Amino acid sequence: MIIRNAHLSHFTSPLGVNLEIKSGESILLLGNSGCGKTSLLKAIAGFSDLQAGEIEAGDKRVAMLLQNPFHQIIMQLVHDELYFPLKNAGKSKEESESEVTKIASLLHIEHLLDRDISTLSFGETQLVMIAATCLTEADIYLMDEPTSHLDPPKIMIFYSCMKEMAKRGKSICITSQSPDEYCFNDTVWIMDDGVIKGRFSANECPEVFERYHIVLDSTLVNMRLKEIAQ
Amino acid sequence: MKILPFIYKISDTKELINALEIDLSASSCTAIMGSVGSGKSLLIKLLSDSHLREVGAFSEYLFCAYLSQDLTRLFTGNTPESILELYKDKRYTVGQYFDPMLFDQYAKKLEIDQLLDKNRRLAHYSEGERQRLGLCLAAAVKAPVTILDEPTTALNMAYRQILFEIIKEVQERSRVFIISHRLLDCIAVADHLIRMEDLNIAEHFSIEQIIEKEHILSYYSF
Repeated sequence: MIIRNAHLSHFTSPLGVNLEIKSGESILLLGNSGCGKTSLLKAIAGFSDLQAGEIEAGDKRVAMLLQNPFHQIIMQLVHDELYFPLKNAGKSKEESESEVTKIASLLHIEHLLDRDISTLSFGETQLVMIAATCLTEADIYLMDEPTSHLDPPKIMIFYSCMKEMAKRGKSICITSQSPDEYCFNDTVWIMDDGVIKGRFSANECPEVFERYHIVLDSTLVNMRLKEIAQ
Repeated sequence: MKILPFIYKISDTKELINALEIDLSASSCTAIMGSVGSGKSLLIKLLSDSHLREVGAFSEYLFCAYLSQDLTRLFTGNTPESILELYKDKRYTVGQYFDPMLFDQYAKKLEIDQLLDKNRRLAHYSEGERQRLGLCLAAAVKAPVTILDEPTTALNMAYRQILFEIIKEVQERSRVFIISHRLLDCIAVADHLIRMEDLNIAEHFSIEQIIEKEHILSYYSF
């Protein structure tokens, strides 16, 4: 997929660069609150129009996990929610069952399958909707802050699931407020006020973060722990 | 104010259990940590939801300023002006505790003052903008208890640091509870911590003791 000469709605400057999302690539999109991360994902998904430019998707299909997972729940029970995209795609019951079992195991949510979604915590709902998104027959997954309500072990489970999706050739674009997650991705895009300021490989990130004054949570945690110890 | 030993029946097979008596003095900041689904938000709901008081989980039920983790449910369809009108209305309990000048101060600190002037519908706000508005509202309610449930999920580091300063200010006049999956949020502001595990209060300890809690420190590192 190529995003060419794009200019997001409600922003004064254009994105600044042509962007390519390669097959099997995992991209982390970082930027301050209100900088346009969600707007960019929504434009790629076709939920909103660009002010200018175009998105060349060819025959690529896109699925998006919304920032607030409660906004995309359709069914009452977890297993019905997970079956929904498969049923919609015309898959057989046996095939669907096998796919639901696999994704539930990848995301460690087997124990939630029989639960009513309204009884789940925010984090559990987020995991269920990540699973539902992965069960769509899309080529590109747009994940808007998928780890915002997950604890660190669950964040690692999420990224191991994304790694599995990337192995299957899926492209993944993830937004996050946590730059610490760079190490789980191939590429990092840094965004500011509707403009992509730079695209870097994960290896370049430590140096780049210094240049852009991006501080890792882990650095501040260590500093604070030293302070407490004194 | 204390958390008392209690059992809260969630369903036929599930209970939220506490066996500890935990003192929550005035001007304290308590961080509630624990894995996804461990019962953190439910514990705090037992304090803030008047329907659940018969459980007897807390020794007192003081008025709570509350920032929910799901902001869109509260704000969809409203404008900042309409929300502020409600917060300022003295007929409601919240109106008796809300300080508009303090709200303006926090809005400036968290850089949403200019956004609020435009009075756009909150449906058009980004999640981070909505979260900053929710924080300003909760912090400007001078309530004896302030609950912040996952207040930093959509905030970048600069705003998180400002929030930490605001929490320190709020703590001077209120008992603050913060729930977060981020260790930094907990240890930056809390003076003591509660760890939930499988719907139980598993531990309660002071911030100084976090250094010895290797199981917690390793849990929170990638």
